[in-house]
Amino acid sequence: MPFDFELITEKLQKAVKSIKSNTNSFNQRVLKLIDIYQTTELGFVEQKRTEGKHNWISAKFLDENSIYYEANKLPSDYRVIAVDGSHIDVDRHSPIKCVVLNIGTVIFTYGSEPQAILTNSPYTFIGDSEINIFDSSTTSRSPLQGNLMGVKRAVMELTNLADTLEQYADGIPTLALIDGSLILWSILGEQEFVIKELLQDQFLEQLNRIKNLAHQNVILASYLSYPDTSDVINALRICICNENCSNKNPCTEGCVLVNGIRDRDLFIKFLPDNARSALFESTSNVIEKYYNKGNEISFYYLRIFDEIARIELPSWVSNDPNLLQLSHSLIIDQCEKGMGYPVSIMESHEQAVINTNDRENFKMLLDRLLAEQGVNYNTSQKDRSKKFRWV
Amino acid sequence: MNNYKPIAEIIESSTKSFVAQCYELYQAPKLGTFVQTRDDPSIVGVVYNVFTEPLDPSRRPIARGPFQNTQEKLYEDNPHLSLLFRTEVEVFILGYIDNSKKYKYESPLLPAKIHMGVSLLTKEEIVSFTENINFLELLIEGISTISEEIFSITIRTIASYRQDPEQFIFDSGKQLAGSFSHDQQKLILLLRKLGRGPING
Repeated sequence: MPFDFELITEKLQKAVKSIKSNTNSFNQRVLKLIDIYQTTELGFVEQKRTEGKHNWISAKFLDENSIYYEANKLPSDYRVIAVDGSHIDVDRHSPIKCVVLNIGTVIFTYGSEPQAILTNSPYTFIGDSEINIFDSSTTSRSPLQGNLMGVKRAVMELTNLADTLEQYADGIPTLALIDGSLILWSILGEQEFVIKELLQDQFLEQLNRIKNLAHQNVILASYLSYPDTSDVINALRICICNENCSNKNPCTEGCVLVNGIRDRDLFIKFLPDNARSALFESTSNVIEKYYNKGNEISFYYLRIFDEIARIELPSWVSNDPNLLQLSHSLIIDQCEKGMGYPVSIMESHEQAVINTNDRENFKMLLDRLLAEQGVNYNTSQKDRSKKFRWV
Repeated sequence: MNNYKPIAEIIESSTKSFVAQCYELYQAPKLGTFVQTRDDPSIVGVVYNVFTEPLDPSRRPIARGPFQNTQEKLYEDNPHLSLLFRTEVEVFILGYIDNSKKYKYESPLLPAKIHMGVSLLTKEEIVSFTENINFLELLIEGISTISEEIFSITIRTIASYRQDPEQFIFDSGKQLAGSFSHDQQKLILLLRKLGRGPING
């Protein structure tokens, strides 16, 4: 049955028209927020935020907020190491429960001896013991699939990054770059034994391994393109909102003004090309509850190729003015080489990606191995109906 | 035989031609260059096409704009680029060297194996291989594959290694006249191209 576009077009047209008519008012509100951002004193923002009368996750201001910074010159020799991952989730219709994870790693050396290394490392998690997280004190378990597999992938990416950095760190400035966030937001809501194993025992352990390389001029950063975050806007909102308002009971001063505006909307109008914003610190629950000292996550916004990116750094990087400046100039350079997006992340993604053909080949390999062992492959009727389409 | 130093590796193979991927990006033997495989038998052929393409065909290169520096600087600033492209050569087979080290000016009975190394022939080896005018048989048969231009380049390159280049071109022209007596237009075209003289270097 062909898809009936007519049925959805009318609603889409209305939505597009309303975006257009709201643009002027949106821009005016952003300009007003920029004015507030530039004129509100740093001390006042922090005072209002720490009063804790509103529970929005808002940025801690670490810097003079009206400031922006231009990128410094690049060092003559430097290196960028980036990782990215891709995975094939558990097929619940298959008789063998298996996850495939592929981590792509790139090592780019620039300067007097330019060199590039592109690699990828596949991993498999097979059987109950490997595709579940177990609670040692009870019989509880959480399967590594969906959101949790995403968390495991982040852990494995960071592990590969730490392994590579330990092998290569030799004192020349090295940017260790990952795609996404250093804040494992998505683990919130999981059971405590899962958080302990994946976040505290594994993810933070890798952060600590990388932190131990700080003396070798290693800079850890994560890159979020076109971020949806509103930490800075929320901090401003606290300063201008009526004290009794909440998300359920919005006030006319702050809540209406900031409605639908994200940090990127403010910084795209405020920052010049290639400049970075002041420095902020995330006050996310997951950091306050689990991240240890030295691994608090700071961030700044960067304007590059008419886009705002959010750069997250552990505090051991952001507290060191030299490493902080280097993170800025090296990321700008990476974006210029990648025509708007860090070339190292782009290439690590290319190394990691498991394309449709690979996925099909993996399924065929599994089917063949099962058939060779005479395993009766009783897949579900639903799976069969999708595989063998018929009339 | 020369001191074998592979410059490329076979990635597609048939009894008429093979494709080899060069070990260094852009470091391909020129059109008309004689190469041989380290196979048994060792197959001898001539390069009739050279091309560079992305390793991943779904990732097309895009222009980087006139603001870019020289090619060397571009590749220095982006060292990964040389890992994302590959230079390949297509080689037309002219014969092979049999077990008794004799030249056979005919198609091998089986294609060279994939991943076999490919090396250049020395000037002396080229002269030796082309000493017998029979080497022209497969080359003339293959004109429709390799084109008249590549045929001419090959003959004129070999000529430059000879003591009497003009005589070699003249002899080759005579062979052509015999093969294309039925197609004067093609013969004139080929002779005109040969008439450009030997290619040095």
